[in-house]
Amino acid sequence: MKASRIGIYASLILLALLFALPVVWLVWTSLKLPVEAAAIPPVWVFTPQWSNYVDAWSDRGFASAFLNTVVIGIGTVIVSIAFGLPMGYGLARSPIRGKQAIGIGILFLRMLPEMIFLIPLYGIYRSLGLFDTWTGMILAFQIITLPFAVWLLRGFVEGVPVDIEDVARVDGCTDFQVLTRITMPLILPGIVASAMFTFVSVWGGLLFPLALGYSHAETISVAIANFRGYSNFQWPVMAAGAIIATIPQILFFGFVQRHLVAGLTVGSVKG
Amino acid sequence: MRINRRLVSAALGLTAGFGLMLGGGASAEDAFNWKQAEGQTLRVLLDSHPWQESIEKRIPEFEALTGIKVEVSALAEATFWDRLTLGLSSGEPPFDVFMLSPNQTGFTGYQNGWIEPLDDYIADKKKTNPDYDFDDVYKYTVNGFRLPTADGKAYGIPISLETYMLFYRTDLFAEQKIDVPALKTVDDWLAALAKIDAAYKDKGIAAVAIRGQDPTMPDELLAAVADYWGERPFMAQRMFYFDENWTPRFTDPAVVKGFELWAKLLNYGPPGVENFTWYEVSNSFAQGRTATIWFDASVFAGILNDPKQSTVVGKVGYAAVPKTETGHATTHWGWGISMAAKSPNKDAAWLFIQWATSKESDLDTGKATFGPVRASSWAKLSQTFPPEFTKAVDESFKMSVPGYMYFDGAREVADRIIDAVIRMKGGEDSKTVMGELNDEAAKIVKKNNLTK
Amino acid sequence: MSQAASQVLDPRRSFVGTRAFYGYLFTVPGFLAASALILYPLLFGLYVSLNDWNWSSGTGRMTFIGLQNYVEIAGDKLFWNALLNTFYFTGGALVVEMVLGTVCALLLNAISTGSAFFRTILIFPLMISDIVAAIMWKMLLDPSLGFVNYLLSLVGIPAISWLSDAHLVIPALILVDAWWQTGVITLIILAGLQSLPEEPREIARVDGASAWQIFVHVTLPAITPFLWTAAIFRVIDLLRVFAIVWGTTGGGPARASQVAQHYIYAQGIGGYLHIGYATSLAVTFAAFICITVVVLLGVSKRAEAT
Repeated sequence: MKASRIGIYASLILLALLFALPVVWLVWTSLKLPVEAAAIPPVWVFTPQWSNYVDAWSDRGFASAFLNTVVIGIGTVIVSIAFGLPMGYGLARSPIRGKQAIGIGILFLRMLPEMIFLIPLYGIYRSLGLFDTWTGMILAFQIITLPFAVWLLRGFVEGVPVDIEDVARVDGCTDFQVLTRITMPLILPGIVASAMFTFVSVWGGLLFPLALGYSHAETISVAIANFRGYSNFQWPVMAAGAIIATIPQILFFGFVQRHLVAGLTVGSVKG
Repeated sequence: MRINRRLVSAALGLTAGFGLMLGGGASAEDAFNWKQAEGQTLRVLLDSHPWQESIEKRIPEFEALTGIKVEVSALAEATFWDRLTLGLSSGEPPFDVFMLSPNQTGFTGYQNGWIEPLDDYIADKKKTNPDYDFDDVYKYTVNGFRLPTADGKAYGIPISLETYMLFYRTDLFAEQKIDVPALKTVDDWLAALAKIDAAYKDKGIAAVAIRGQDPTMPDELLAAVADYWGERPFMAQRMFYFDENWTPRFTDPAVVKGFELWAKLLNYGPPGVENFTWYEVSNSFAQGRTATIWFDASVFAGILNDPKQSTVVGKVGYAAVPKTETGHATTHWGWGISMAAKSPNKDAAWLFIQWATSKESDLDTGKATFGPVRASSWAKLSQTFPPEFTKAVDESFKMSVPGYMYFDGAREVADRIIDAVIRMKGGEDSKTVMGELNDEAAKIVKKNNLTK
Repeated sequence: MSQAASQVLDPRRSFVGTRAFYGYLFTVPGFLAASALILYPLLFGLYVSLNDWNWSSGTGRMTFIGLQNYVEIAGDKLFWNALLNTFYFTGGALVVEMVLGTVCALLLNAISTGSAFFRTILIFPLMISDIVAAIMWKMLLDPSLGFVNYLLSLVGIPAISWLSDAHLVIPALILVDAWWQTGVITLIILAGLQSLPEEPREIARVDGASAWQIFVHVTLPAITPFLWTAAIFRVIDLLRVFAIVWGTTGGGPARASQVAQHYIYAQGIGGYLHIGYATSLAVTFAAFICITVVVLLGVSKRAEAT
């Protein structure tokens, strides 16, 4: 028994090293001078160059991309929750037809490659003047985030016992009042989690902003993608930029940890 | 083919004098004024390049001179072309001024009317500084930007001129007792490379740095093919690869040999050379990890001689492309700067373009690029460049042809060319690879309705 | 349900204010918004895919050519190459991630002290976006300066050209993806393990079954539904891979790692501007994903039924 316990911990430590080492390396590289970062064998002792973070942040467009992403992320969250919450509630509670179909539709949407939307959207945005605008980006992201929010929120609503709502109904509340006064406060943590998931998918989303944004609506992922052509001379700045870009995700992840599985399996028929 | 730089500059000095006299006679209202677009904001898209670094440092000067605010974005070349194409085709380009070359992106922009022709601006005395002296800019470089023919309109003003040549480490070649001036042919050089490879490979220095799977590699590959092509004629824009009936010529012995040479050189490269872009090519040499650079831009001289970027300053040798058994030639290429046809700030854009290509600017950027575009700058700067560099560049230009390939489908053909070279580097038989490339190229030109 | 339906159908009762009314009121705006945003581009895309629309020679000309784009796809070797690469990558990554994820979940489920700590580290890469992962691994896998090759050199393995060797490039990308997304499987399986009752395993243990026997005969069958869920979701996301490949190899060397979404991007707005053709490729690729998922769903239903 004892031996197997040690074996389990040893394996976990080994796995943890495998998963963590690349990240440690990234942090480490972000603090070096270019010459040190390109040295083999690696330089183990060096003076941390915090200025790399300043350089990455002040690298053309990086800071504005960061702020764009915050704005687009918040905008996307507002639209997705505003439309998604009533829809999720309706799907969970109301005796309307076609619920099953909508569930399948959401799974189906997830299967479609982004490219099937990107090219037509690019054409549409060109003619409507939505290219490289915050509005255009927020609308485009709804394709991914709205179905996602609907499905998640539906699940949270279903977690609220119907009895509580029925009591309120007996007291004369309409469904709208039931939603705003009874259910919403109860699923607030769920709403927050859905909002964070939405925000994180905007934060990490690459293809939509790559094709539909440029400078005004350039997001952090595109700013990172623009590092691609850099050579090893810019490794430390690239690493610092990558870390800056990941910090918000780490912060938000703390909040959504509990709901991760629900988030990862959005559209799952088992709900 | 090649114009004597000094003669041209002398003749042009005269013309410039005339321009000045005529300009002086105009009334004050019609006179050129740097402040004519004061208060406007200009969005400028640049490729990460020594020219960009050099001009960007001086943008505050432009802002002070004109009262125009400039927002610059600069991208690594691998992303630059994709972003430029996307931005231009968006209908409302998110930039007013951008770097451009006479390549497929330029041609697509030309065909769609996305790029503004600049001749009217140059001729307009109100819009153009009387000191601008456009004729001082090498005519053959300007002609490159006259899409799609040399007598068409100018869709860009040249900013940097580069020819494809060789760089080598003088210390390593001396250590191996290789007499570089005696290396006359490609075969001589290959023998020298074998020696270098044997001596330094284990010390972490590869014999060759050369572009690999980089979207721009086909431009440099043209130099290798040109070197084998000989005196035979070929059509501009289609280059060596298609005849007048759009029949592909990838199985032509000269083309095959050029490709084979490239694949051979890749095999002398450091690990991962297959993915090298020009940034890696110049960096690996600047960091002392490669002993030569093949068929690449004279502009590298600026990087290699900059102590901030290079550890091999003072150990850089220069050579023109060596001759082959069937010919001796190289190619050149130029960056230019252009205006978006849909730009709302065209006058401001033109002020920026003429400022960035003025005599003073070119003299300054020329120090960084080692490839000024004005005869007056070359006359001054060539005195300051390493003599061996100047000699190699002069030799190169004597045998150089413009290396611009553009037609509908050129980018697709270029991508197939990259595939072919990388496959040959991986050891695939050149006959099969080039045969397949020929078939694919035929299909591409047919698909683009160039042949029936 | 039937009661609700009667409410709707009963003409004597006002529809306004019924639960179904609110149901529609809540659902319809979102549904309309979704339709406008999702269906319009989709239908427009389907129409575009039936046209010759080549922006490189002018954006104005759009010629209806019926199914000709789709006929051309049949002979497009590069598309089939990209599709094959996509499935190779998906299959490989799925196997690696399923095995690794299940192992991680079993290990995490077996401990109590430090389980939150280990769990956080094992799923940490999920917090990183795909393009960041790509940029980071491009540096790590650099053949001469990369840390991975340095570690290997410590045990005497010579430099490996991970991303420029045609045979190694997809396995290398599979490992990158496994590092990045195994956490998905770990989390789903862990949730499954935690929902299992203890008794069957207790009984087996009392009966003298070995740990392996318990796993194969008791635990594994019980978590099978979770394995299927995890696998199907991973397949959907793996098939749509873009950034992990585009950001590291750009599809090279010589298209050895070009995947479907990347090829479509290059044909369309990321390169040649063959808008009509690229859209028809996207539609075709979507059909492949749907078929794959439907088949997997069918197999999973059958497997669970037996």
